[in-house]
Formats: sequence, C-alpha cells, structure tokens
Amino acid sequence: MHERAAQALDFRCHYQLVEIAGAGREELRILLEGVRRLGFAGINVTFPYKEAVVGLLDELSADAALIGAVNTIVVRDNRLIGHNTDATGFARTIAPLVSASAQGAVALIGAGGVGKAIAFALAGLDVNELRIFDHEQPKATDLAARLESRLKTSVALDVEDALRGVVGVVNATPVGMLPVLAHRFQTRCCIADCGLRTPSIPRSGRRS
Amino acid sequence: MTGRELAIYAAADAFELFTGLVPSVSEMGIAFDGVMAKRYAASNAGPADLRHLGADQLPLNEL
Repeated sequence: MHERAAQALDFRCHYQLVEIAGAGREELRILLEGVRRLGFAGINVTFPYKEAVVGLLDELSADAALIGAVNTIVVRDNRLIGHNTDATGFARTIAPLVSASAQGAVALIGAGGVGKAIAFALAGLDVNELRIFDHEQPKATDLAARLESRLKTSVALDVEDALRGVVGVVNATPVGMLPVLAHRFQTRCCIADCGLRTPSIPRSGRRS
Repeated sequence: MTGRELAIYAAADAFELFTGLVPSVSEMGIAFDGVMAKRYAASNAGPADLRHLGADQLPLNEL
C-alpha cells in the first residue's frame, strides 16, 4: 500500500516486512535502535507488540499516550515518536456511521491494542455508552476504568451480554464474527469488524 | 465496515506521518485488494503449491 501510494505521488518508497516472533523487550529495543540508525522514515508495529513498544520510545503523540498502544513509529531528528493510526483510521472510517446511527450503547469485543485504540476513537466521536468484552476480563476492566471520565462504560460478562440491545458492535479481535453472530444483532445495528478474514457484508438484510 | 477500511485508513494516516504527504486512499485500496486476493489464493492453494515461493514472495509481506 505504501509503495503504491508513493508511486502515485512520483517518489520511490520501500516498505519491508520485519517479522520477529516472540520478541522480548531487549529484542524490540535493538530492533528500534536499528530503525533509528539505519535511515528509516519509520516503522509500523502490529500484534502483539503495540503495547510492548510504548516504553521504548522517546516520545508519544497525545493519542498514543492516552491509548497506551502504538502502531506507527516515526523517526524525527533521531528520535522515535509513537503514534496510533488505528484510532485515527478507525475514526475516519466510522464517523459517518456513528453520526447516522441512533444514540445508544456500542459493544466492543476485544480490549487489546486495536480495541483500546477503537475505544478512544469512539469516545472522541461522542458515543454515549461503551460495553466492553474481552476473554481476559482484567483487560476489559482496565480499559473501562481508563475511559470512564470520557463516556459511560461497562464490562460485559460474555459476548451475549455485550450485544444485548446495542446500536453498534465493533469486533476488535483477529477473529471475524459476523457469520457467527449476525442473527443476534437487532435491526439497524451498525457493525464494524476489524478482522481481515471476514466475508463482505450483504447490502440487504438485517445488518446496516 | 470491515477490517479493509480500517487497514487502509490506518495505513494512509501512517504514510502521511512518515512522509508528510497525503496519499491517495483509492490507490492504497487497490494495493490492499491485490494483496488480499493473492493471500486468499495462496491460502486456498495449500502448502504444496506454496513451495516455489520464497519468503519475500509470500503475499502477506506486501501489506
């Protein structure tokens, strides 16, 4: 995507996948030192390192500091600056749907790196209430606590509990859920599924 | 919406942070769809059909 975007703007860009499975803090620190010294413009960070890199950077954007997760690191003046474009990207995508939807609770399934970013993006879009479920309940509880000054939050006991009566659902787990859970959504429920393995949503039917 | 839109807009915002330039979201969408099409084709092909691909040729790398 980056290379094609650069090509369209008449300059050359090289985007390289660096895969490091099971890296600990020291390996991440060494990798980031390489990014700083080797002339990269920056690096994207993905699951499961979005939270782990936070303490290894020189500076965080206001959003990234609030969220506690980083997916984009920019090198500026030899400093590593962390940003979260999961949040800005999600906000840009979902804003028209949020403003068009009726007021009510939104369910967030997954409170990991992406889930956190989305939760803060939803708070910025003036969503009234967020119901959070994560199979690791402490993660959901922690996120709910961090958001409580910004919007009404609650922790759901299970997915069924999270979905009850909501006007919107965000799946922030890597597992696509729409085929499995579609029958549980009420009419005119807005659905955002962040997984990449989800089939496209039919334009007709109960989902909107 | 699906993860497609999120991935594209998140990447577009990252591109702008990296370069200071505003990218074409539609160009990035075309690239994304191409990568995903290859990725699904590869996953449907099965391991035997992937043996000829080097690590740098796996479609996932292009994201």
